[in-house]
Amino acid sequence: MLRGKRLRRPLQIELGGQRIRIERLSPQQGVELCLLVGPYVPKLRRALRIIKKDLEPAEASQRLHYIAETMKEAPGDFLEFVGLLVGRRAEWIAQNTTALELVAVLPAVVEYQGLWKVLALGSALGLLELGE
Amino acid sequence: MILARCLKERTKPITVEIETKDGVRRVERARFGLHLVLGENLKQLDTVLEDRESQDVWELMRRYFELATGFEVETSVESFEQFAAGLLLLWALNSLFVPPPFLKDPQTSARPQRLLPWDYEGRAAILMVHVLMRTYGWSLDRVVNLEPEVGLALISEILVDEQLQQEWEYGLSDVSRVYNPTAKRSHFKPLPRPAWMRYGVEELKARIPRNMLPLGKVIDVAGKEIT
Repeated sequence: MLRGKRLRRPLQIELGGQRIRIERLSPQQGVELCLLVGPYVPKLRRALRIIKKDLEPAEASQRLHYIAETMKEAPGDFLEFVGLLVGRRAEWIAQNTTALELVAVLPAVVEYQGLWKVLALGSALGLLELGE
Repeated sequence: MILARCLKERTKPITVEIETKDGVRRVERARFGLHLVLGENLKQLDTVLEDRESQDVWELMRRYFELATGFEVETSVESFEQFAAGLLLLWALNSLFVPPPFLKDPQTSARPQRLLPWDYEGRAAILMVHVLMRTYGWSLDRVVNLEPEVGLALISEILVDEQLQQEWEYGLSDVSRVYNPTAKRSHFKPLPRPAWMRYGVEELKARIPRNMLPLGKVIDVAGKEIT
């Protein structure tokens, strides 16, 4: 868990040609995200682990495609998921970002927003029927 | 084992450390009264999770956090990460280490329950407190401050006592004997017990006619990732 100064330090990322200052998820937004990703927790956990920086564009889009494929049961969930993490609407993500950009920022955003806790809470809630 | 563990807990209460805005705060495990209230909250959470209404889920999670810790989420928690970490710890802290058999009753949990005319919200918790107060003549304060496992184990014993007493009285009456005219004899018909007091019932094997079984090569995809 992040403590003290590290917790308060804001994260800035480059996405869609903009410099975005990411707001930390509030408990309520976190619960919303948790309900969104709950059904995909096991696959998402695996998928997020394989995303690394310095990927070739083709490989990056392939890996993002894997995550999007993981969440294909409800179209739009993946974009909404990324949108909630970076504080943008799903439509904005779809229109302004590329796979490579997303792969570059996701690891830092995932860490900053404590996504592992979202996944832990999601699996504790027993919303796993789609992901297993 | 329950009693030994609870006596140990009395001398050294189980606590967890929760990260908050103002630093780390120590939270003690819920006693019987609060445990029942938290249990009601979790039951409601199970119900609203079926609809996936994020507002309802959030409200119930927030209420659980506030009841279990005694401090408000808005003023004490800074981020979701802190909230989730705290909530997961609290769930683990307040779960029973020996769940009593009557809480695992498959019949009562699986069947949708019909509301009785005298039912009201939270009656199950009050009923448990009432059973203990009535049987032992304890005060409300004393009952709600029991260790959760001890309170539930005592209720389990009270229910067993009552059932055995009823069986004894039933066995003495005429209605427990059914006359079989073909055999010209009466036989004893025992008083039915609740499911949690019966020995495990074997699961019936489903018999499938041969002509309905699959033919040809069967590909087992269990354990393989489908892409």
